[in-house]
Amino acid sequence: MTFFFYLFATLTLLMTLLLLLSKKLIHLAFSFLGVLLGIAALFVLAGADFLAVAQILVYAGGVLVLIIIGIMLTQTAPKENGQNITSHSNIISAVLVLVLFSMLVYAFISQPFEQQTWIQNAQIQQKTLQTSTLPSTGILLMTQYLLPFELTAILLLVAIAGAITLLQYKNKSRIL
Amino acid sequence: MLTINLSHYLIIAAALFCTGIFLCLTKRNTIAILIGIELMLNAANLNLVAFSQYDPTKLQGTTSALFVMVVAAAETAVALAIIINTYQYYQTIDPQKINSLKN
Amino acid sequence: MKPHNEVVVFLQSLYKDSALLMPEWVLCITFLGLFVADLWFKKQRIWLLWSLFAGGLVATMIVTILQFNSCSCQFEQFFFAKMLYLDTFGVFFKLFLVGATLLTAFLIPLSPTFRAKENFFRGEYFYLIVAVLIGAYLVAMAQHLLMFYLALELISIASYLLVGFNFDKKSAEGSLKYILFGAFSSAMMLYGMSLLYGLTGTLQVGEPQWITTIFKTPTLLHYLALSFFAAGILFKLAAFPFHFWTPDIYESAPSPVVAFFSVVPKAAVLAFVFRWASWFPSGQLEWVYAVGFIAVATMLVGNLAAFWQDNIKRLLAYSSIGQAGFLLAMVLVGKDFNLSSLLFYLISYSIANFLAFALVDIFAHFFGQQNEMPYAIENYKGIGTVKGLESVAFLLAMLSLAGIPPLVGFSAKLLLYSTLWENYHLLASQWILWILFLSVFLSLVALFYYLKVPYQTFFLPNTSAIPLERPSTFYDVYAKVLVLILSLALLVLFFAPNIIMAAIQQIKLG
Repeated sequence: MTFFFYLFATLTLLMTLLLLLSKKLIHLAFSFLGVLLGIAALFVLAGADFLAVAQILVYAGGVLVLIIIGIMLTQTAPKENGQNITSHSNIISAVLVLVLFSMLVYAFISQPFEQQTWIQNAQIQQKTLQTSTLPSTGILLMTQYLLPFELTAILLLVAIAGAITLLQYKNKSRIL
Repeated sequence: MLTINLSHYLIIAAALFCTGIFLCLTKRNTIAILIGIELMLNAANLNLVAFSQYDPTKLQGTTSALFVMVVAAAETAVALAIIINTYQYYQTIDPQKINSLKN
Repeated sequence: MKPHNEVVVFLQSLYKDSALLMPEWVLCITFLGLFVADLWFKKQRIWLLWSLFAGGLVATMIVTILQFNSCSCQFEQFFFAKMLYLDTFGVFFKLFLVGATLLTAFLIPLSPTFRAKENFFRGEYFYLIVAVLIGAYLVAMAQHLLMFYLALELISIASYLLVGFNFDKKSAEGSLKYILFGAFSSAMMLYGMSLLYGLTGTLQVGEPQWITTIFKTPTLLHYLALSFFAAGILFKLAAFPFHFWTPDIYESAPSPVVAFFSVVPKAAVLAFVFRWASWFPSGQLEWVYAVGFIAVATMLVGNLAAFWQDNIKRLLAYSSIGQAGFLLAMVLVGKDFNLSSLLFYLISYSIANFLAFALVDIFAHFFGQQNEMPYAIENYKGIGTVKGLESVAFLLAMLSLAGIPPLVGFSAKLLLYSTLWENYHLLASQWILWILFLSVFLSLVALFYYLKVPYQTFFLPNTSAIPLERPSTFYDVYAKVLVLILSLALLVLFFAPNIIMAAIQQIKLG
């Protein structure tokens, strides 16, 4: 278990590094696929089996394909896709992000979440995740989370209808 | 007992989150920025799932992560529609070159 | 969750609670009805779609008023598996939101896209606005972070699309910028939410136990989590570090949509923010400083940048940033604030704002589609002699936004300042006094840019030869009636604020 965790953690982080270094957009998209699969594996190790499958189906199968189609439809000259690493603002943002990262890591290590009362209670009572989440997820979606579940229906309808409309009509008289 | 230290999950998530922010700040391509945003959402999901291990009856984290995935998919679809729409007008998806509005 | 009986009992309670969601059901029916009607009818039937839209909103309003009346006898409760919380405060905000949307409905026929003969006005416009309203309704009642996130995303996704609904080059750019900034800030908010879940072990906010856990030990982690969470909220409020998108989006989007954005999503998120503010322990000054800093910075940015604008929509964008700063300053007052002054301010601001945007569209149509920039302020030179009523109404709207008597904006600002003053005495924090001084000073500064357009209309000679193309009489009369009603409302509410004050004073935050 521990071995697999570190294996997939390393894989995910390596893919993230690859994603940072890739110059071409399509390489970026494929290293993103690697990251997504790594995260799915981490989900399994954290006991969220259903979510891991959903991650592969929705993200790797849906979102990533959408992104690749998007790349296909907006092909431009290759030089526009790369980034200019030496430029000033990029260095500033790299420093900012590194500061943020070290702050987060420092916070996680200096005050581990294991010290939070609710996590300690769960550990003492041995109430941690042991079995598959699939049955309880199903019941929860139909009881506790019924309202959010129905709200997503409206959300998806809005996204579909709006996206189609936006691409379908062009106000020709005002194209400058 | 869970074998893996909780903070290891959180540190991986933090790394993904910061990578996402870095992509958003530096990339000169809207689709790359979109991938950065997706990375940030994935980092949040990983956090939610990691915490949810200690919440086995209510499973709030895992269920929320499921909803976040749906929202992310919808958001990506809309974002790509908007990006393609913009591309048809400007013939580029470099946010710095799309600036007909006054700054 | 294993036993079957438990699930049945749970479902029965959900079934009972769904009666409390009546206004939302009506909105959902309107949404679906518009969706079907848009596919069914031909484009020429745009007025039919419009009346369906307005009718649905009126029905929602009636149902919400009924809920408000039954709510007055003090019932405050969690419902729908503790996802939502119903109290007079929430229901009042819902009433306000549907009222503002109804005003938007009356603004829509004035917009150039609606009037144009090419008929590129789409029916999708209507149900996207209804979708935003559904989201706003749920945000105003949300007591669960997941519910809040989903409702906010519903607002956001529909808004990203609505910005593009001029179907032109600028509009495309506006929606691109909006979705990039918006998705970025909502991802930050989600990360903050996940950390808050880790800190408290629940996504259910507002319970006494949750409040003690989250405000117990302010540590680095606690600050990080709350600041990430604040990012998404500040974006929706267009407050200081996340205000950059506002002028661009306001410039590119259709004006009724802009008027809608500057009121409805903001008011819904404000309702949520005020719920949070009521949980702050009064002793903790760190959050007073943080919120105070953001409020001051927002006021400064909004009011100072508005000076240099030569586009009326950008000017109104900065004005709305400044106004959001004033409203945020009210959060400082914490648990014991006087709610009625805030709500009154919100109402007076939105009436003046809707009037201003209605006039922007009326003038834009007057300056003609052939004019390259129908929203430039220099167009307004000497227009006062040609369009008397509209120019006077513009003056009234601007004066009300600036807070000059005898308009409702003045009484609203006075109430706000007196509440801040009382709270300065109560909390004895110098910081509140400084914010009070600064906001009084900035409203004087604001007077200069608010009077920029009326100065052009009344004091400058009419240089450009305006094509005296008469608009079709129906729209002309419609516009005049709408403008008259809104300007009268500004005056009447100044002389008789009791009309709404009586209702406002019953409102309590749960």
